[in-house]
Amino acid sequence: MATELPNRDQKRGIRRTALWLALLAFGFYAAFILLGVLKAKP
Amino acid sequence: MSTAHTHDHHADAHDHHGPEKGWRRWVFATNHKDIGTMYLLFSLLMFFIGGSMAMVIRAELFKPGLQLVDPGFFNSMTTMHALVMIFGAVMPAFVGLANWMIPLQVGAPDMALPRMNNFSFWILPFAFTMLLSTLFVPGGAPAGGWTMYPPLVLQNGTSFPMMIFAVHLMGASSIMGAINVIVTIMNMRAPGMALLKMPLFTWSWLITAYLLIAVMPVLAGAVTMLLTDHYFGTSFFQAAGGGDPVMFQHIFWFFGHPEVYIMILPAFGIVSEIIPTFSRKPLFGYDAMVYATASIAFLSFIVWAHHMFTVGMPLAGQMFFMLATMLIAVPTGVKVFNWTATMFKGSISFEPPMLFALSFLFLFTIGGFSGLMLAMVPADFQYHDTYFVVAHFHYVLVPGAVFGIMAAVYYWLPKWTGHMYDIKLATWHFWLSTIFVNVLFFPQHFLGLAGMPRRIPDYSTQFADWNMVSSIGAFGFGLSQLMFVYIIFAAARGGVRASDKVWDTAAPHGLEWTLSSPPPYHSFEVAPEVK
Repeated sequence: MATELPNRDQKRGIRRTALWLALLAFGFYAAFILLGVLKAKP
Repeated sequence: MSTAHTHDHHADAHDHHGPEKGWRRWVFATNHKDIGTMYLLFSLLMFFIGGSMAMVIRAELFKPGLQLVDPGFFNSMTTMHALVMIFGAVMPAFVGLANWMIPLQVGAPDMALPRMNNFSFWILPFAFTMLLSTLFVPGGAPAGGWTMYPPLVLQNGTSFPMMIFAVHLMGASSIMGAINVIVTIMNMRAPGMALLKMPLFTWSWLITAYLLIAVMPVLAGAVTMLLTDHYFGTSFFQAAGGGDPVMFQHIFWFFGHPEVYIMILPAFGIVSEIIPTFSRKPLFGYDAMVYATASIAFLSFIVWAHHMFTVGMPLAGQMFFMLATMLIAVPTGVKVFNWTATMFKGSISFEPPMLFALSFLFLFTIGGFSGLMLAMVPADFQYHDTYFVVAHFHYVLVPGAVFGIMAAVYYWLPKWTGHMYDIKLATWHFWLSTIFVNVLFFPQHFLGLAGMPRRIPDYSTQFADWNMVSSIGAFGFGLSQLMFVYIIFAAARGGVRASDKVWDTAAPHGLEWTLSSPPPYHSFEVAPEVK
């Protein structure tokens, strides 16, 4: 049985984890700019 | 220990190729060891560039009366020294160690996202070329402090957008590095390696990577808002337009305090690997160490305002941030206790990695104690912006983070190169570094308590003596580091062959020691099975 690392299941997990983490990072970026916008006085 | 697997032709072709020849090996590197090496070499270069700036600072402060540089340039040196050391030296060094060691420790063939790994490294030389080139632009390099507080920072000239762009690039690099670390640990651990079986270095990096993902975007958001305030007419932080400069400080330190732990948690992990090895005992309280690291990381998010007590805040706010800060002493105390308990009744030997780990233990604790003093609101009003703060965070970052990195290099260098380094010379390097780091930073406590402000190019004659002592310590420490470079490159070129276990007479444990020294190009082509 040939084993290539990372295997197909791992690859799917890698993609999914990476995507969630990238989204989390972008969420923090956007949230703090939004905080600045909401705090700004017109 | 390991299971046997066969390979198909495709896998064979993939597994048995070696590194590319010449410059292509480095520019197109996707191998975790090559990228780790590049991170570490880049960090070493930045350590010397940032260190040269520190030498300019200490030469100017050698005695009272302006002597060497223009005060504006002095301010640029303090600002650039911090930016280069934090983002160029300490953080990339830990990412380099993560690249080298995490796949080896979890039993993976490489990092999970090797192409992104290449990209996150190669961003850095561009970011720092841009940052350092501000030294040559009209108006000079950034001089408002690494904290980039508005409105002062908005008065910078051409260097301002260059610094902001460079900080964005560093942030992007760190976030990609952190994603890679988490993805590798969560998806590529060897069969049988449960989370609570992972080595402490890998654990500390997993927690650090989450911190990075949470706070580097916050820094990026803050500097993006600075940029729009400067060029697009917004007023996030400009009081004249209805903005609030203090809000920048809140956002900055929401990033800045976890950043301190980003620079120290991996060192905790390193020390947790080294002390059991050279005490010839298992680590005392493994689970407690993991939970303590996670607790420190959590608490780092709720203490940021202790950096800015003097801006004025409600009493309830002062009390909350003071007590939350003091609470960090509990998990940190757990760690110091466990390291000490690991050594208790151990058969201890004092090889260079252990010497640096012990120095870390004592001197980082001094930095921790002065941190507790600074956490007290009434005391902080006295210490704020004095050399006491400079002494505090340098004790945390130099004999803390930097000694942690040096301990790691001395621990794993024979594994990386396949050669044992000159132990006698490394011991000399240790003693000179430890003596001079104390000569350099301990007197700064006295200067701060006596009222010497930080970030000034000249001072009253009452501060002359201890400044001279501190500067002598700085020159000694700087020169001692040349030995570090010599020891590393001499070991890379050749020397006595290191065994696979490297520290045969001690008790190293972990998957990395099951591989040859140096390890094969693809670390674990067949996943080992952890029992």
